[in-house]
Amino acid sequence: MNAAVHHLPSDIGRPFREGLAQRRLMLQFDAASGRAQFYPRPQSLYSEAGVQWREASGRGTVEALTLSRVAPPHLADAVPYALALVRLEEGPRLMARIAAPFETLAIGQAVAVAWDASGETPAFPVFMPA
Amino acid sequence: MGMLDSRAIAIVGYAETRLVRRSGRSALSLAGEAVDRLLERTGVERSRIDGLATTLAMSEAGNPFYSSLVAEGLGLSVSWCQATDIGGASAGGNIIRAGMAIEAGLCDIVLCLAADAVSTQDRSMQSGHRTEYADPAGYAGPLSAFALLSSVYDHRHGLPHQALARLAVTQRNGALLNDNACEVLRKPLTEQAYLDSRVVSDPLRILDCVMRCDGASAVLVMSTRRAREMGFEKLVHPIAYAERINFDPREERDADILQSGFTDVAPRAFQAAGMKPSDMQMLHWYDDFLIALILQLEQTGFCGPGEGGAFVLAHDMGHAGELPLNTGGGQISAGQPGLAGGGVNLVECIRQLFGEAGARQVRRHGNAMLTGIGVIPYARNWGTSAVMLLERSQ
Repeated sequence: MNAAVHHLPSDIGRPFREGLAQRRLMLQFDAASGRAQFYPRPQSLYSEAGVQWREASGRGTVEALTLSRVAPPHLADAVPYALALVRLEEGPRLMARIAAPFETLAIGQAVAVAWDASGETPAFPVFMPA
Repeated sequence: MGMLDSRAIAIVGYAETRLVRRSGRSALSLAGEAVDRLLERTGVERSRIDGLATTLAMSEAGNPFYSSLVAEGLGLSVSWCQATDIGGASAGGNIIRAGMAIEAGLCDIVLCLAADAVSTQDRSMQSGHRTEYADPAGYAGPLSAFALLSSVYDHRHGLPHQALARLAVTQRNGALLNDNACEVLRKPLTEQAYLDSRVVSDPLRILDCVMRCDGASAVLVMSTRRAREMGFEKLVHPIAYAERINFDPREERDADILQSGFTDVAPRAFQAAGMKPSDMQMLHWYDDFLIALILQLEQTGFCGPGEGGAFVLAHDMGHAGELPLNTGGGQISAGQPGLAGGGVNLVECIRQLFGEAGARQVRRHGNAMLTGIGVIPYARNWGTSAVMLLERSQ
């Protein structure tokens, strides 16, 4: 396998990745209706008016929640960790770890984005109870 | 009338290899074994096969010329060739695509193949959202997705632990009677052992999940007219089919993550056949995770939302029961040969319809319902759902 190709991310998500470096959670919004979408797509899912990138509030609620005792390689030392689908205030679901003890978490709980400085650079968004 | 409701397409034979954990073999090697067996059983000469539909193989995933590799390796020169890449729905999808190619006059006799040696070698790499947005977040593969789905089900309805245990044991009992099931899975299981099995991602237990293995299956498809000309007496017809790729991308279904494409494809397939769930004599349903069976029961019309557990406990779904399900163990108890996994359900379905399942033969085998589940999209329920209704020729 060609490692260079493997690691080349899509151009579509560049504003999202640039946002990570500034600890800003960037989302695409439909240029006509303002409806947000995640993950980044080449078109708006909702109209042919195109997308605009804006920073998200970073607030959301837990919609699905698991304590994962398995992990992708870069998180092998972090198990077990709470993994969630967070319904962002702007609408879309985002998959993210919740940096809090699993026993203290529940579906429906309010969370806010946090930036884990200890891990990768730039940090991928994690959430904390709000 | 279309090719399905007119019974114009016939499955005339099937074959499979044993399912083996880390066989050390390749997908092509396994495919060759299945095809040898198929040709022997059907008496069809290899030179008469002029169409090929194959699932992909994770073990060969880096090869962009996969179906041509298979044709070349098997010595087939075909006038129609297809690689079906709708994940676990591909084995069933092969049958329908083969029928379409035959109906279009592009070919006459089609080999439908499913082979993968993923437990020996996995060369797959899912570019796109999986590597860019899911893996960095902590996604550990399909079991993460099904654990998250299960948590929503648990929150809304309460997970039906006893029913899941019943399903695990029922299918395991099928595997005990299936010489082709993975040897490591052919051990008796109790409901308590299921309930006590290790949690891998709350609330998902290890015995909720399939185990990957290696294996291959092969099915021969032709027109019913050709099958009669060639003297085949046992025929199985696909009589209705519906598939949905990328279900509900704009969340128009109440933004409910539990909703899958089965809410769309099952009504369409039943309507096309003029049938209803209670007409089905057996179920061969895609079972990568036990919770998927509960959701299929609720979303294909056998019961309502939240009632899947009660339905399972109220029905004997063993081979001798009133509504047999995955009688050979399904993938859960026979093993999942990677992208060929749908072939496990498909071949058992055909074997039962042919009345050739031996000690696990069901009593009523005039029709069957086959399902397929495909890919996992980002932060949604599975993306591909497929239903096929099949009937034994009268």
